[in-house]
Amino acid sequence: MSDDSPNWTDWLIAHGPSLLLFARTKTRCEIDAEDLVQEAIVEAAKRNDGNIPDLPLVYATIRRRAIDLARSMDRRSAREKDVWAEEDPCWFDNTIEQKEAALLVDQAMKKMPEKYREVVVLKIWSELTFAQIADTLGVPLNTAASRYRYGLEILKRDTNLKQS
Amino acid sequence: MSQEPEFDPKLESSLRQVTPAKMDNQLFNRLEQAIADAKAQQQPVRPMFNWRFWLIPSAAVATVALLIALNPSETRQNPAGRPSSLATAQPTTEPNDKRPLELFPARQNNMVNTRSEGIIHSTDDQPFQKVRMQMVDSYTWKDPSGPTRVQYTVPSEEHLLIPLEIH
Repeated sequence: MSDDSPNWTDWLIAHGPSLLLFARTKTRCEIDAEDLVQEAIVEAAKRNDGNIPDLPLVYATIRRRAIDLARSMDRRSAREKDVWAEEDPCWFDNTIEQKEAALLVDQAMKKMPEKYREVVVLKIWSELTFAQIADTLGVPLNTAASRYRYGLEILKRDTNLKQS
Repeated sequence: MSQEPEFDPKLESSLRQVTPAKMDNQLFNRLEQAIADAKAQQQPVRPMFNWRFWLIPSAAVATVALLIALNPSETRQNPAGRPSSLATAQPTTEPNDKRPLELFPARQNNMVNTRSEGIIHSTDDQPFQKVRMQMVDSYTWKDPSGPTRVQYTVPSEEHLLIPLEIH
């Protein structure tokens, strides 16, 4: 990675955690989430001649590959599913100063219906616009905005985060 | 971002303070390596800058140049003597004794060199076996009554992508 034209290292530091968070929300185990991130980044980079791709493209690729993965996962054994259920890493940075909030948000996000959760992740932690979210998810812009609003209401209800 | 609607600015601000968990170093290194590999795979597909791409045309040009050097009188009188097929071979020169020189096909040769260049993936991740075929079609015309020979060499190269099935 000594190549200095597209600075992939900085890009990974800036966006890697958000991409991994999005992948985690779309998969049932940590290994699959990491594989999804890797495959999506490589695919998007190849499509962009090895240069840094547009962020929404990477999210869209993660989502598409997650759908493919979910179809193949359904064929896996229940035993494997039990193993996955045992590992449940916190999706958020639960260092001392924000541990309580991180755990609250983590639990609320894991319970939230996926169609709201994916919009919330893309809006809050990936900082995409509603137009980009709509493109990424293949839904109308108004749908993306209303799902976000519902998602926020769920988080407000379930986390009791400071609102003043 | 300033034009984006905000539904609950305080809650959104609180949520943004809870940052996603960082990637561990192992995953980070793995991603960097995967990106480097992907970039390395893409770079060599530039045949214009591959010296092997020019090898066969250069050999053909050298052959033609040699023939011109050995038979200067023929080529001077037949500058457009580029036969289109064996059947249309025509007298190509008129020697000093005014006798038309007749050339007859003496040999036709097709050399094929096939080389596998490994497996590549298309943009939709379909694997393909990449095969490079190098062909040299070489024709020779000869004057039966003398040492005059004309050789015409056409090099060509084809890249084949053969779809692979994953079992």
